[in-house]
Amino acid sequence: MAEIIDINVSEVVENVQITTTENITTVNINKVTGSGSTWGEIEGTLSNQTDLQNALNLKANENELGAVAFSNNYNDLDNKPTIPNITNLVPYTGASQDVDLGNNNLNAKGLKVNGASGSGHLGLKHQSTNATAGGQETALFAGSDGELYYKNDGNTLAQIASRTWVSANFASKFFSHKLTTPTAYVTGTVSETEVYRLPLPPGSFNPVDVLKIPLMLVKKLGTNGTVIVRGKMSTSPTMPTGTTDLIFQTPVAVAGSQTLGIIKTFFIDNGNIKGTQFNGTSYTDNGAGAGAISEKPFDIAVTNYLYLSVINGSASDQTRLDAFQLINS
Amino acid sequence: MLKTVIDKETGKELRAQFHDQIAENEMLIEALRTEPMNNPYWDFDNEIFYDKYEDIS
Repeated sequence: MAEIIDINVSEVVENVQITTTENITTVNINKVTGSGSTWGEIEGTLSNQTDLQNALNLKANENELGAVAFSNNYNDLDNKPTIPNITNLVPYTGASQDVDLGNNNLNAKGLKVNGASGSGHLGLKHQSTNATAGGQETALFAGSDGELYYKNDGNTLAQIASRTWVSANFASKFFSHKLTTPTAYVTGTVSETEVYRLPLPPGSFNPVDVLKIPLMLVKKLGTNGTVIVRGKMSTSPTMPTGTTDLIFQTPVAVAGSQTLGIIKTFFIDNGNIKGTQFNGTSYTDNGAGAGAISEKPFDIAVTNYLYLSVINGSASDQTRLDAFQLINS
Repeated sequence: MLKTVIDKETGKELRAQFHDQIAENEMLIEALRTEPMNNPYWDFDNEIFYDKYEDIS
């Protein structure tokens, strides 16, 4: 094989010696620019190696680097932020221990205490009566007696509830029904006519309660007819006949046009409703009457119906219920 | 509209009312009683009310 020799010659290279074999050696003499150094070698001073110097200037010296550059350890970072201990934070869900806010407030849009496994309550411990309520606010707090109190924005102190639930002074159920639009006139008949039927749903009243008709207005128009007004309390969805389930009735009103005002009060007492003589005749309960206190069964756990009826003495009379209210207290 | 409620078997007058809710044994009639009676009943055949005198002995 012919031998080929490449010689790269620069201006500073002198006395190039070539060993050849006759007729079989090819010599290429190539002129190169620069120093002609071998690839990967540097000749001369570093400051003269411009591109290399520029590249080195972009690098940092070891003494300028932090410890983390060598250890790659988070703990060697400088100026690390303070990460709070999550065991002191309140999680959105999955709390594993009680949350203690200390002497601080909890501000929220709403508060639900649902609990689990049958628990779930809001406990208030008495501290003082110095609870304050701002405008349109109500403050709830426990009194020194453990009862529930509140203050409104007028700072009026009032007790809400008592532990003695059997007390009739604190009704846990409030019932009120009003009729202010007059019923239609009953006319053209002398039959006992139902003018109002009021369903009383189960649980409307307390086992011990007071049931009042503070005022009932009946308007009668006519000449010399008569009118009787009745009230009945029944579990039947249709009005009982005659004096069945009667709890009050008025005297016979004989004048022409008349307005009747009726005020009645009854007591609900553990399964019974009682009052002044149910089959007597009176517009109100105050006053003395012959006979015992009337009493009939009254189950607050079922639907009861209060019926109001009128009996015209003359078919030409006109009678209607003008206003009525039933409340408990 | 005011109607009279009667027992649909016996014709006994039960009450009058403005609505149509009645019990299973009751029926509504448009006739209204205009005469006082002690024990009013409805005569289905003649379509009039009558005072039924019941023997209490």
